Amino acid sequence: MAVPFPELDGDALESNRRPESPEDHGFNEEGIPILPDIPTGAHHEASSGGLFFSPDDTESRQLPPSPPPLPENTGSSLDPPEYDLSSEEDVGPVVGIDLGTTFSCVAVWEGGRPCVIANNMGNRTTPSWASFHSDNVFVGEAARAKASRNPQCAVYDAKRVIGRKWSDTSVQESLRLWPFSLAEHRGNCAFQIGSQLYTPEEVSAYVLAKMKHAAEDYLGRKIKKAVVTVPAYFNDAQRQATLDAATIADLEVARIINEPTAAALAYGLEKTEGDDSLQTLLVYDLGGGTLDVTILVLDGGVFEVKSTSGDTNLGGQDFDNKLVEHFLPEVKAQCGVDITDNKAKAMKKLRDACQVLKHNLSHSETATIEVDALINGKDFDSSLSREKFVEITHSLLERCLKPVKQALQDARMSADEIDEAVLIGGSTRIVRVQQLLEEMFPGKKLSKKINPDEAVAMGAAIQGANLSRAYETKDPRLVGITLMDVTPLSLGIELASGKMSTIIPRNTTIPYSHTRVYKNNEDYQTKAIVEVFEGEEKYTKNNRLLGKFTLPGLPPKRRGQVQIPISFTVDANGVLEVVACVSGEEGTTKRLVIQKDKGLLTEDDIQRKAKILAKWERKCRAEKLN
Amino acid sequence: MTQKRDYYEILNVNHDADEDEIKKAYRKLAIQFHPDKNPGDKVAEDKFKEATEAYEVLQDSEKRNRYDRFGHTGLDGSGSDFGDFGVNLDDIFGDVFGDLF
Repeated sequence: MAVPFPELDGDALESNRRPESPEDHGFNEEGIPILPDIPTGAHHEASSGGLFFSPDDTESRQLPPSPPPLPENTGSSLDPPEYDLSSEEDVGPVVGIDLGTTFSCVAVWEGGRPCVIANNMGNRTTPSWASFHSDNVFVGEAARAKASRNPQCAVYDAKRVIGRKWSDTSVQESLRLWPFSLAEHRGNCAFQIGSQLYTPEEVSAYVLAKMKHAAEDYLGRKIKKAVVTVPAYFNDAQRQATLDAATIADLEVARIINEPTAAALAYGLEKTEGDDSLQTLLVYDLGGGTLDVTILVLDGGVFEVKSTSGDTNLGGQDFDNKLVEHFLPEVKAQCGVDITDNKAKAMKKLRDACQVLKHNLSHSETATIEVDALINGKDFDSSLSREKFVEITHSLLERCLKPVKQALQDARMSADEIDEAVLIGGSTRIVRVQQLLEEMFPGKKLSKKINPDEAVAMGAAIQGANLSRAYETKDPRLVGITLMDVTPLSLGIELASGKMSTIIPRNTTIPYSHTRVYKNNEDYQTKAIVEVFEGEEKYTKNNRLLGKFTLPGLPPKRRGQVQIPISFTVDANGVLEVVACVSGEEGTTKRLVIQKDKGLLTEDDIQRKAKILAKWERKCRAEKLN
Repeated sequence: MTQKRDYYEILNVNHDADEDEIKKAYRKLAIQFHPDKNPGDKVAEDKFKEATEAYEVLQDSEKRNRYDRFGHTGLDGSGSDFGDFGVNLDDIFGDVFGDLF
């Protein structure tokens, strides 16, 4: 078996930690120390006491220990780019990439319509898999094929762990059923293969690079820009991590757009032709790992998102997991072995068979499961009825309508105001899911007009075309299209009481700016700590910390006498910028700007991994691999 | 902070405009000033944000009502925060909008 992997340079377990940066020492960009952790309850005594102390955020704080510096010799003779990309205008078309949990898809605007590009195997979707070996990295079908022999080398589900903490319950719950190993890496998750660690960003980058290859082969030119989709309900860390993945894959992200919105674009483009009536759509997107629900109004070419909701941890894989768990005791009875016990190959075989069974149950009442030589040469046979399937997956099905209700409530609409429910994502083929939606929207047709596996990439390609050319030269079908999306989660700051003060509520149309004025909490306080959170809980400790900074230079005044306006600005990509200043006595204003916390990788990490990937791409091109 | 413009003026509608008129007026401005249509144009982006803010208020009958009676100050604190009053002494300083002091 092919281990270990010296030249691939994924993060080695102990070495290759990130170099020192000011943030690591708790300094903000002006070099002012961020106050150290203060025990709960103690902060009111602190003389420099902050307005917005977090009493309990040791978990969310991102101040890793300072690691040793990294040697700066990552360059090699292979580093100069292969193509001349210096000319500004020749960046090629902006492709649309649906980076899915289980499958990815790429499309481009061509001949007046979005066109899905098949990969080199002739498939229109590519498994989001990567398989790491000593001599190469395989991606897509090749990686999945490798998994039969070396299941511990092949990884998938990167989207389920990207931007997530290791301590995340959903990660911990899934661990048992993954055939590959996951390890903790700076508090986050990384895939462990042999002695090497690969971050989910890296794995996603390989998949993105593969999609880019397919587009380059098809179009016969270098691709530099892409619109990449994410689940609407992805939080900021997950979005940032996805952006990092694109950077590693040498793709400039023209725009991150939400998957259901993309699907609605693809759907709406067909629909709007010669039809200017106002329509309210509910897009239900149940994919391999996530559920997204978006309500939007389609008025001529304007796509206005009213609300979005979701469950970032519910998808086809969860149904597979339930099936695997259901059959495990039967396997033990028939074969006499517990295959969860380090039997990765057998687990993979069982999981694949469960997937086939699930698919079959979408068109027949009963389906069989047959695995040849599952373990120790023993076969496994069983069957399952659709009714039993519903029973096994009951807890998942119960969660399927929750975001629908939430989205309706947020949009201040009732179910009968929805003109059409559009089904997207492979898992909407599950019969019971369709039934639940039919019951929720009686008499309404469930639209399956667009291909559920391709709609998202097609929508991304439409937006890519929309963004890539000058307004005047645009395709007439694109001219009227305007996409107005929303923030999925509320954004705000922490108050002295530990409560969340929301500055931009969820489902606000972006781009958007808002300013609120806060006051000093203590007499003669000299600085204020601004901690930025996202989430819907009343207390920030239950929300997610995005970033923090210290605002110095408060004039010495009594409690409540200093005004501190704090402005939040969310751009069209959903990226937040926070500005705080002190309205001084003389009317002077001090400013400090922070970007939201960068993703989980440092700039150095990203650049280093990008070089590895670029080298891999050249190797694949030269040797016609992947 | 700079003086805020009147929401009706921003959307270019009358004070008695109904929901539909407000929606139409907003859509028109949104298409005109959307960043996708005006890449890199900071003024357009600000106009878009301004229109969205006006629309957020005028489309919501409760907020519109408050705005009609008290102007911009009636909206500061956006409703729910007022409920926190007096729960905790700290909140009086943390939660409440500057204008109330």
